Amino acid sequence: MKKCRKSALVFLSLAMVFSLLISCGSAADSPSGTPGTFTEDGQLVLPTGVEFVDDLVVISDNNKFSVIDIDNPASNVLTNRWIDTLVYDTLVDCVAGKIVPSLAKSWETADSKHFTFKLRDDVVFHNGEKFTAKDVIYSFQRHQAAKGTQAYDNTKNIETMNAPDDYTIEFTTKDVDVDFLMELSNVYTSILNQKAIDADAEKGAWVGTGLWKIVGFASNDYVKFEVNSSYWGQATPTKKLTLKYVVEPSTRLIQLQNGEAQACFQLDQTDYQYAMADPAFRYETVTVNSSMYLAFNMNDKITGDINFRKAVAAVINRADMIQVAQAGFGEAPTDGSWWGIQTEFRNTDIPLIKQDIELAKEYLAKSSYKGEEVEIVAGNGDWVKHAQLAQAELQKIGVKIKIFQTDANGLFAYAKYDGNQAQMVAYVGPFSFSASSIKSFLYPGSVANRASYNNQEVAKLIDQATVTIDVVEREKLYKQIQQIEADELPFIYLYARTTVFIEDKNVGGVRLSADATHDISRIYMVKSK
Amino acid sequence: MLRYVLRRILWLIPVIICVSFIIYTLLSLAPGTIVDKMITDSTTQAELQEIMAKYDLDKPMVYRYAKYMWGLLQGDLGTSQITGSSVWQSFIARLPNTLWLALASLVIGVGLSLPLGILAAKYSSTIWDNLTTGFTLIGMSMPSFWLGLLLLRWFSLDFKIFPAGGNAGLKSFVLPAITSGLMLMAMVTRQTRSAMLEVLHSDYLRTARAKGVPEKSVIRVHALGNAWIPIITTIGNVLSRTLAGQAIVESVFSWPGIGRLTIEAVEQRDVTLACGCVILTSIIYVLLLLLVDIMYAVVDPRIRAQYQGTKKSKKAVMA
Repeated sequence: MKKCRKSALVFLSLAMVFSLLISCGSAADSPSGTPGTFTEDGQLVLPTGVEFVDDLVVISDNNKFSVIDIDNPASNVLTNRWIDTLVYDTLVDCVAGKIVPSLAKSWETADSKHFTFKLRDDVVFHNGEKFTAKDVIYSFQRHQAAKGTQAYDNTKNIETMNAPDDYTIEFTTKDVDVDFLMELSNVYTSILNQKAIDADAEKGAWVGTGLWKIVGFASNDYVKFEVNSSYWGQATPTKKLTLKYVVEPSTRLIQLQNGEAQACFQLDQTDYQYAMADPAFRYETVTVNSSMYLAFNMNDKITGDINFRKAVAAVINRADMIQVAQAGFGEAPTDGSWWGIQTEFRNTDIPLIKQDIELAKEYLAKSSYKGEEVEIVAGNGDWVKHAQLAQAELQKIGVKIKIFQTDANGLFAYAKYDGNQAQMVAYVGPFSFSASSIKSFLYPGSVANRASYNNQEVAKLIDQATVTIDVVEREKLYKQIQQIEADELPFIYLYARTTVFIEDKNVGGVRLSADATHDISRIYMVKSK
Repeated sequence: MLRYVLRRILWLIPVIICVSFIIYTLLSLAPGTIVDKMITDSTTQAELQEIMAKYDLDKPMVYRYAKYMWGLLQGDLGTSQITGSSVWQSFIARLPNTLWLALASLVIGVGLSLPLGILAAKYSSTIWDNLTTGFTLIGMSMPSFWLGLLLLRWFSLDFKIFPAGGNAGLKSFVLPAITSGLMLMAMVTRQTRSAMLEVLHSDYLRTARAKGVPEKSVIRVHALGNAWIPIITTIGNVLSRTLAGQAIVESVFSWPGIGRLTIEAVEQRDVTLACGCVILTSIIYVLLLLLVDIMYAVVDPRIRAQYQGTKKSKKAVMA
């Protein structure tokens, strides 16, 4: 009897350890459920013979949405991008990095400087106005006046716009612009209606041609949408949609679990395990182009030394960072290029400096570092965790690290190109599908160049690449830029973050994108039988 | 009394000047400006300078503050630098949410605290007193974010009785009101208990009892009537804090109140909105404290007589 009890105890303990191991395993091991079924041109294939829920609620991520106006700089946040995708349309669309028609049926260019677009003639705005080429000119002029916005960035290269008829629009760019179509596919280049904006500057900016129209908005609280029944494209079975901002991550999980919301863009890392253990939910993931990085002030005595930078690169433990900061939802690079994970022309031939403490010590010995305290500036949240882990690893080779924690505004003011006060910066670099997005980080004078990196050769190569029409030549130039960056290491690529979209198991139709322009416009939910 | 009220209202002017100067200076000294997070990564230094100029950030803080105060003098709280909407409208849009929540927590807090406090005092050093003291201790020491999450867990998730967030009807008031009301209840209960203990052993109550006044009247009229002052003071203080915005409770319950509005404005370095919110909140705070002072006179004839007495004595001096 005693033996029996003992065996039972051992069995029970083993079972407990086993279940603990399962629950402690990386949450990112395998995604559950299936993503919505989309065809290659972005059309959604709906399940048949089922009934759909009319009204859905989706919880957004940590970002607030203060304002809905493409031309307001405050809309430069991810959440606004998702809202804009619901409300507006662009001339062309980008599906998995490929340009497809949207408000423009077709387009042509012979020299990547002169572009002609043929527009759809069956599109109406939410206010009932018919869409014409004049709306394109009005919208783009408005975008061009909005300095500091994505809308401005994407249209600032347009020199002239001409509408020979209501459904044809011609553009001439200042320089050859090989990324012009990609820029026009960006949701911030959407088409607005002049009449609506003239009538009401605030609410008029909510009027688009998209599948969803805004019927209610409270700043940093919620946006309510109703389906646009006269939408020109594919319809959706959902009738009403609410996107809401929930400050507290635990409240997001509770709202999801009690059915107040059917999907959620972001939970706290510690909460993922609860949602994933619940059979009522499934999750979809996409690794986004945004790369977590450590930047070095190239003008600083210590961090300006290449051997010091190499020592840091050789000491970083990426797996730990992904586990600690993202609960396993991230992708470490397999090469040494600082580039978006799905950005075109990635140079995969550059070797990655892997963690090697001995090698790090060798680099450090060759550097001018003499035991001084080095400061890492980190924005709140994940970046502090990166800085703390870097601090722990660097301690192993004798580098003293001090962490300066601040919010994003503080970090931007502290670590800027001119008068950079930071020695090292732990932050994130958002890349797009287009290789030209590297310009923001490596070009002298750019506000995102937090390394104060000034290499005239790189600047020249970037200028050259953006006007090179020949794809093979362009690829060579961008790969050369990556090689120089890897040699000089102003930035160390830590990993790419994986976005996790948690949804009810009956929800579908969500299209996650590597450029973080996630599209929930066709979200649906099948009624449970 | 009227003169006193007017004098207190006039005190608002220096309060507004001080508060606006402090918040304006603090926000200006904080690292980063409103444009830092707004601009895109591709913005050039030249474009950045142009945008900074648009928000007067290329000028000294004193200039910006003077410009703000000039607007304020003309009754203009300005517009939010982020949304472009009027600060007054943004504040007023959120104020009812905070007012209703404060009222609900007041009903819960005072409704429970008065009987509990009286009970604890009347049956001092008994199990009732110990239970009440223990309960109030928990109420005071439990962090509101934790209590809020516990309530959410039980009543939104497990029993699915109340919604977990937002302002969507009467049901959504319950949990945030309990969370902020419990703190109010704990403080007022303790105050009621100690105030009642003090008066319960006084001579005039013994006399009242000896004269055969029923015990209910002794407690309600004679004891409570004389214990009101400290109780009202506590209610006023806690209520002011609730009205000034309970950012934590509002965050846990996604409650769109003025506390969250202020925090969001500070986070985004929207100086005009943050300043406007703080000024308006200060006005509410001062007015509430004034209301507390007026309440003293209402509940206590001695204080009422003091005001009247001052008036009479002044008249006598004049004569």
